[in-house]
Amino acid sequence: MTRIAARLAVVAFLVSAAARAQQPTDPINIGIRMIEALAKTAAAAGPSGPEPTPTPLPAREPKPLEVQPDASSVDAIVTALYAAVSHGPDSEPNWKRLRALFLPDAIVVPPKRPDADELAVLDAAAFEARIRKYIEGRKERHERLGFTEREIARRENRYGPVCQVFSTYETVWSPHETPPFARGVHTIQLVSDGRRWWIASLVWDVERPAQPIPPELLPR
Amino acid sequence: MNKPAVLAAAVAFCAAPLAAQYQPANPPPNPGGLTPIGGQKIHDPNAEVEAQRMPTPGGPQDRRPQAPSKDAARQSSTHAPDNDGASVDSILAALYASVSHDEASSPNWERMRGIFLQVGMLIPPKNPRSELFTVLDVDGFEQRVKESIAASKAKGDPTSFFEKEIARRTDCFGNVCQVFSTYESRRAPSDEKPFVRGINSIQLVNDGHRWWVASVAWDQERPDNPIPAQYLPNSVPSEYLKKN
Repeated sequence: MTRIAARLAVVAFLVSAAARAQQPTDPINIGIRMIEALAKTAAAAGPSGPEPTPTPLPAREPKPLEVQPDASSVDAIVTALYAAVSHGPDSEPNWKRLRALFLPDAIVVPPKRPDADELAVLDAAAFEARIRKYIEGRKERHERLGFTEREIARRENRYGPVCQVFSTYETVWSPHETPPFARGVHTIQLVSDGRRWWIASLVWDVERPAQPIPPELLPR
Repeated sequence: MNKPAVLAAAVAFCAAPLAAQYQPANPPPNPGGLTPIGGQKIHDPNAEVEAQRMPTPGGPQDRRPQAPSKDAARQSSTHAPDNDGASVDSILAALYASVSHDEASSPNWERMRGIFLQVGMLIPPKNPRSELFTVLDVDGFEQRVKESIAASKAKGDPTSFFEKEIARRTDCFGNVCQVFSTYESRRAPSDEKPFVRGINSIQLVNDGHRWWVASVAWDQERPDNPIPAQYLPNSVPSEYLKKN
């Protein structure tokens, strides 16, 4: 009797979980798979088999993903880069998220300033300091704050764990604004360690009247 | 040319060298992943479009005033040819030439230092046993190659190394370029078959005066990591197939 009751409980649980099972990422699915396996074992063992364990819920929480979703693919890391630097007038870039995208030895090479003699080559920390300084400067001058950068076109070359992305962007003060106040192209060198992608190097240039973005680097 | 014909040609091209290449059980490690072009014409549809559209910044057409720079000073103190940074072509030629060497010599480190940003990076394929990437500057790369050459000498293995570019994809805008450069490595330039092939991802930046290598990351060909047809010579890039 107890065995039959246990099996009935399992079946009832499966039915009630059917709706949640439509969500492939729902942790309930792991539980369902465990229970299905148990039910099969119990059915195969028959009346003389071992007492099945009535386990209506997963015993443990599923392990958290080792790799943050931001770094799980080329698409994800490029999307995360733009999302992390973008911010509203009262906030700042998401520094923690931004830093997590870069290899510890990564380099960042912004366009050379017209008054500079040489290129500035930054690491991720200096890149962060540069953005902070830029925001502070605008605040002090009572200029408009907020910064949204989005990718509008992309070229990509990938071979195994090495990928280079030519990513055309536009920059607006707030997300729903047009036209952009700046555009340019990032070249993003990415490497994968087999588990996640990393930004190895980020170099870019901005559009200027004498240097328009060519049609092949713009959306069709 | 129709699509099946292109694919068939690509497959045929791919299959032959692959079969030959993996006869040795343990192909020697590839210390450089870089090679001389040897004056051959590289097919690069993107670069051809680019060349028609705009002059190469920092190239012969560049008329911007020259300003003194620390990097320029560093450059002039070496024996590297002054024009290595003049164009995308010349800096890639210098990259491949500087890493190549015969049994009696070693890579031309002065020349290589002369084309890399001071903090420029080289990222070799990750060792499957290690957790993290090895990220090297030219000094670190020199050390690594010297150790590799010493180890080969101790075992009586060949140490000569000649690498050449066989195909290239280039994207450029203003002062930045990214190049996907397919290479072959040989022990002697006259060897029929390379002992290894791979692709270098090369980021270039122009400081208004000349081009510099910011970063080189590469991977080499393995049976489970064949070079895709579009990165081999005479391939038609997929975006062109779609357009035409």
